[in-house]
Amino acid sequence: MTHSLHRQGTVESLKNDYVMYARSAKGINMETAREKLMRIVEIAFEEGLNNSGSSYHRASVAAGNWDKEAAMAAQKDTYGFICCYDDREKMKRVLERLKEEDLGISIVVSGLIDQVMDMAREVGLQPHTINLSLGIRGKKELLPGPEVLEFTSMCGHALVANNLVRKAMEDVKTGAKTPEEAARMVGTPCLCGIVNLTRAAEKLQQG
Amino acid sequence: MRIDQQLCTACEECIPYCPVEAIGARNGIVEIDFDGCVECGTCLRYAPCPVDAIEESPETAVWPRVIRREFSDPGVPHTSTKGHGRGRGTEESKTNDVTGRVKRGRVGMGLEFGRPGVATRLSELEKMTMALARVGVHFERDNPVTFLLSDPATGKMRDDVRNERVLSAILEVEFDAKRLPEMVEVIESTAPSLDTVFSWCLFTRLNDDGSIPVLKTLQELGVEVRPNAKVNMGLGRPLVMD
Repeated sequence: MTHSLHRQGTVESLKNDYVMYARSAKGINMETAREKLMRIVEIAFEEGLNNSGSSYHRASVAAGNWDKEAAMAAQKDTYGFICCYDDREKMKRVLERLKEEDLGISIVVSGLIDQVMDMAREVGLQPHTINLSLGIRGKKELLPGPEVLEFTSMCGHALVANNLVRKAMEDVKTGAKTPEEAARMVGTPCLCGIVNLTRAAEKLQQG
Repeated sequence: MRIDQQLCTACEECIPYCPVEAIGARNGIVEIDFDGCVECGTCLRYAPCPVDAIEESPETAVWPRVIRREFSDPGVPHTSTKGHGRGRGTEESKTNDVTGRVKRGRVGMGLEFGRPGVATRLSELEKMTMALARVGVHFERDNPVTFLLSDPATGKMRDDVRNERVLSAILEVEFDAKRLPEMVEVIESTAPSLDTVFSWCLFTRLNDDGSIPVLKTLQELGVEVRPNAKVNMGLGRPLVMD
């Protein structure tokens, strides 16, 4: 229910970080969703997604075992599709095309509220429902620092370990890995493929 | 999960991959803390073990420990908890444009215990389920946590699952938006008693002009709303306008 909602970071670092979901609903449009979801996959890949994956298939772009063909084939179960964009214009273009084709599948975009609502206005969409993040409560002294949380919170199931992020930082610092290689290492355990690899590499580059 | 000590070379390459830091080295032996492990399977799938020493324990698939795997590994369906099959929660806002599950004037709320990256015993959730039950909250029927309550009317958790540790578990409730101040009070007053953290979310229908109906109330209550959110774009059909 929460998944990509609780991505941490400043407003500046959350710019150009969008997660898109396409979901069918059982008993409503799931039974006729296969072709429509396949079309969404085509559009999503054509517009240059940054990462994508499937926890059910244990595959992602970051892990190197998920691509357009794999995602298309996976739509036989008519459940849905998830991907990540690192650019506002790409995200907007996807929404424009989805509005134009009117496929009837629920689309959710996770990102900065102002940006997502602006995009909706520009494209001519009327958003229906919003899921707000009210932050973290409880024993917050158990949390790692914000520099680590910014990476780990990009995984919707908390599968990216704090120490893996620290290792990636160290590997980039020592030159053992490029920021892109280290970002891929961080993104690989995220089974849904929603770690924004561009954002992660940029953060690792900054040190 | 466990490490086959006959194979392990104690290279320690697996240690950084554990999301709950249950893998540790002591006296030249690398081991997985059985009680701390949440059975997410990340080490088995992605830690670069050169000798394939990481393996699933026989207990992983046995009740009640199987709960750890079902809540922590998103690739494993919620079979034993009779949840909807996939994920730690329900589809909530993602398909609300066609299901109309949460209508105007209603609020859905999710408390993801253990997240981010802290993990939780199910007994920690019980502190909140009991507090919410006291004010008569409706727990989402299809959520796997609800299945683990021995009595939804009191919020009491089944005794045999209370000590199970999971990467995260989502408590889902729904109520009339007018009750938001009361719910916020219950949640804020219970949070300090927890030995874990939770990430808190609220979902609601948007007004026709795109404004968020509960925003003013949340501001008055001093609840900070983060700048990022998940927005259902209203592209599902047939569209529910309730």
